[in-house]
Amino acid sequence: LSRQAVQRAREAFQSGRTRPLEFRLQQLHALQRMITEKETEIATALKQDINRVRYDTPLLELIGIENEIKLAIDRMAQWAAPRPVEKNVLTISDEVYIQPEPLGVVLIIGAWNYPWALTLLPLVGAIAAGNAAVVKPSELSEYSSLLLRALLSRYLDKELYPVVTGGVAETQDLLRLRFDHVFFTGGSTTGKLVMEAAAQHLTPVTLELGGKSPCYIDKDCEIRVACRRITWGKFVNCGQTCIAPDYILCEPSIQSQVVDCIRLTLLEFYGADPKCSPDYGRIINQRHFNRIMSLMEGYTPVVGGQSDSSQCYIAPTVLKDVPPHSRLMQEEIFGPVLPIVTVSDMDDAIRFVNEREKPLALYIFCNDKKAVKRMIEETTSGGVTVNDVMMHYTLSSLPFGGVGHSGMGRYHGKHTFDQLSHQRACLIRSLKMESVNLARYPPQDRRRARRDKLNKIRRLN
Amino acid sequence: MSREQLVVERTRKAFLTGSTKPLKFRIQQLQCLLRFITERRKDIADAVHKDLYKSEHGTELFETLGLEGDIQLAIEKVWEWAAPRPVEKTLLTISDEVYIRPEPLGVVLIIGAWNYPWAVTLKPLVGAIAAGNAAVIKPSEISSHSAKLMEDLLPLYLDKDLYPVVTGGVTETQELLKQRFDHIFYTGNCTVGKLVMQAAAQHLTPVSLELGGKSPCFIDKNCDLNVACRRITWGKFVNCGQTCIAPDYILCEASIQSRVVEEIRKCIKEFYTEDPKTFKDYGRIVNQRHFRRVVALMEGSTVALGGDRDESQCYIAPTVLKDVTGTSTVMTEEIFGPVLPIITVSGLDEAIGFINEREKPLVVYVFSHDKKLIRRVITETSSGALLANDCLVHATVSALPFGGVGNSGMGCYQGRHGFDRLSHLRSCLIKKLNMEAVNSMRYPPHTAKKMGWVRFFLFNQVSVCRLRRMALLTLVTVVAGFLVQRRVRRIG
Repeated sequence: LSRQAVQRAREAFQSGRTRPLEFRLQQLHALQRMITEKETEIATALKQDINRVRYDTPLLELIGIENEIKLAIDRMAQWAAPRPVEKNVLTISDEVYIQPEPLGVVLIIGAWNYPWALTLLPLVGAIAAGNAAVVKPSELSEYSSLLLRALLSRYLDKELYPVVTGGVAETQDLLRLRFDHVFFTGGSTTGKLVMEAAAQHLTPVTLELGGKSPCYIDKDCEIRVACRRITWGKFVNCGQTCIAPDYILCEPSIQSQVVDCIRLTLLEFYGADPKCSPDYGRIINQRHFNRIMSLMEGYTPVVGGQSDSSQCYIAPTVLKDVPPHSRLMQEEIFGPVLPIVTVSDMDDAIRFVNEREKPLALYIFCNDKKAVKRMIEETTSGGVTVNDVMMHYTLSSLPFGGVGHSGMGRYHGKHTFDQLSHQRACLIRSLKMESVNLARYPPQDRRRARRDKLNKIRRLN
Repeated sequence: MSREQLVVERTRKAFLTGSTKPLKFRIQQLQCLLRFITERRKDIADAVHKDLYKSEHGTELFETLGLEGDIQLAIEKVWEWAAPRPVEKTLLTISDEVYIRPEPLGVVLIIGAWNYPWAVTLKPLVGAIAAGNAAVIKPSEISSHSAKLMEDLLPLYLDKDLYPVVTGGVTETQELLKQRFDHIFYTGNCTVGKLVMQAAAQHLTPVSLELGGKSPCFIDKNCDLNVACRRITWGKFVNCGQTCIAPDYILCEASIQSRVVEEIRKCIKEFYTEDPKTFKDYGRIVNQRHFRRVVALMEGSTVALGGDRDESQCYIAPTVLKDVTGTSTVMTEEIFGPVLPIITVSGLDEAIGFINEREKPLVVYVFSHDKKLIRRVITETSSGALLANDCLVHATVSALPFGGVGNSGMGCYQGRHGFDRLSHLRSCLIKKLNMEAVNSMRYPPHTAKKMGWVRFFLFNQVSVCRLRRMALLTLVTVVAGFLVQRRVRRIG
């Protein structure tokens, strides 16, 4: 079934109908309508999938998607236009530019934590760049997958943008087929398999993976504000966000204060019993619930710790004095558990971060500009937000992506368009001025070589 | 521990000392590389002559001159390329610092090719050094004299811990590919390209693959055939056809085929004399395996000119085949030799169809005076690059990205593109701990009213430039209105 869908998408792409910008704009407008008209249905599906908090859906997914669509509609003509580049002396009378072109058929593999944003944001770029796209939403967010399949076929061109649902077997089937780009969001293990499969066809990939995003709190900053922002970022979507602050690094002298501030903030956000708060989510399924619970084994939390497996509920939990070699610090938590690891100072924090795989995001809470600059310069990560969490994600002018084990390639705004286009170098010369070329032709005698060298030196100057 | 493992470990240690971070260091290394090329010009030319029978001037023209230009460009521009790049802000981030910070990736593996052993191996190195990486350089063993020279001499000029040269064959390359790198830059063919990407996948290492393919060359019957054929002849037979961006085959209408053959014959005589075999500016096939491969490709096709060969010298005369079809042997793989097939088509439509039935090539060449025709070829085909009315020279424009698409490769380099390709462009958002009130709309407990504010702020993500323009326009309008009013009052 997937083979047929991909074949149809390829034929539809080859018909050339995605070429005209009007067509792409029309598809984006339709997608826009889909999001506005079906907001309630989408929110319902998310509630069934992941017990998504009502207001978090527009806040975390839909508004972002709508903004991307608007931006693409607004800027597409500019993005798709030929981009003139700097000429050299030899090409001064030629046309020299880069022409963005569609790649062909893009495979978009989504994830379950933000099932709409993580499939539709790449789709917006794929459409804008003139590609066809096969969308494979995550089976773990089943209701969203089925709804996405129903809606996309109703609003968008069915042949160009089919949705293929299914589990591991269907995904493996898809990955055996040939695409012009594979865009994957998920874990590193599957990321390796995706890249390996893509290698068989020499297909370029974008991998949006994860990792443990560290969050450093300097002892001299406004800890109350810092902790409020961190608490929000950590516990939104019940910690199931790829750029959630995974763990805190701070000096022992402020550890208790940090714990207290987080506790106070949690009370502010979710009340005395987060289980009853309409604004607190749940873990996606039993397997992940068990995984997160087992990470905490052997530790006594200082905040939270309560759980209810029948609801996949884990209370917002904070652990202090977590040893660096504990299980909790070996894998991405992806849940509402916030370990605090103490470090002696910023240098120690920098060392700690650098000893580990490059994370998707780094968070630094500090008022000292010089210290912030130093920490940025001496570490690396996909992105950095200083004095807040996750917000670099919201600016479409910033490329969003990882480095090392947190991923390769990037997207958002024009970056998605560029990532899913081929930037074709174009040089249009004329058949005149052949005398200028004489120096390059054999016989390469001394006179000609000297003349040519002079020309080249002139070009360089 | 294998030799390769040790080398990579040492390189990583050297990178982790942080010595490549200061731009001054990178510039100094680039200057040393430049000195190497200029001081050892003769040695390099000798090595290339032994490897590929290329003349000294040929080496200069096609390998070292371009390299020197690249190094000088990087030295001049690295400050600009490596600086933080501010980006467009939004209403919500109007008082924040928002920029992209280029950073080194770490240790890059550069696997070179044998056809331009210096240019193809050292050009990516320029980008790697400029971007602040360390690099393990693996030149092709097939151009063995160049590989040996690189291994012996490069450590005398560059930091030998940061930029080691590892020589060897298939086994050594496979051992290298087992190690972990932060980027692998490979130039070569598709088969090995797939293996490189597969190996890279084990470590989630990004790759740049500069591969090949059959680059078509369409000649419009109404163009100046004399000039077109001269340029094509030059592009095809340089380095004995062993150029990834050489025009692989010609597509033209049957009515001009004889003329094309004639023009090429004249140019070959002009360039390489009546006897290319004795002429110093005509090269050789790199080894017997490739010699036999290219000769076998000619089977079954009609030779219009050339065709002579001498296996003992790996010599194949500049050859043109005519009336070739899509299923001829010579059309089954990239020729990479001095054999130029001509395929006749009924017109541009058929030519475009022919090109699109095949894998995306590294370049599409089109010779025509008609701008509309050229535009059609651009819109209706795809390739790494498109060059109209000449061959090869797009590779000399450093502002143009050099790379393939589909089976011809992924990723691009040259000039700033090389720098960016071998950097991590890190997004940075620097906020302050004040203005917490603005954030309150995102915090629970959520209410419909708060959502209203969220929508207002996030939906109206007006770009600051537009905001400034609007503000300026409003100001101008108000002032103009004020001035007009005053005028009217005075007159009144």
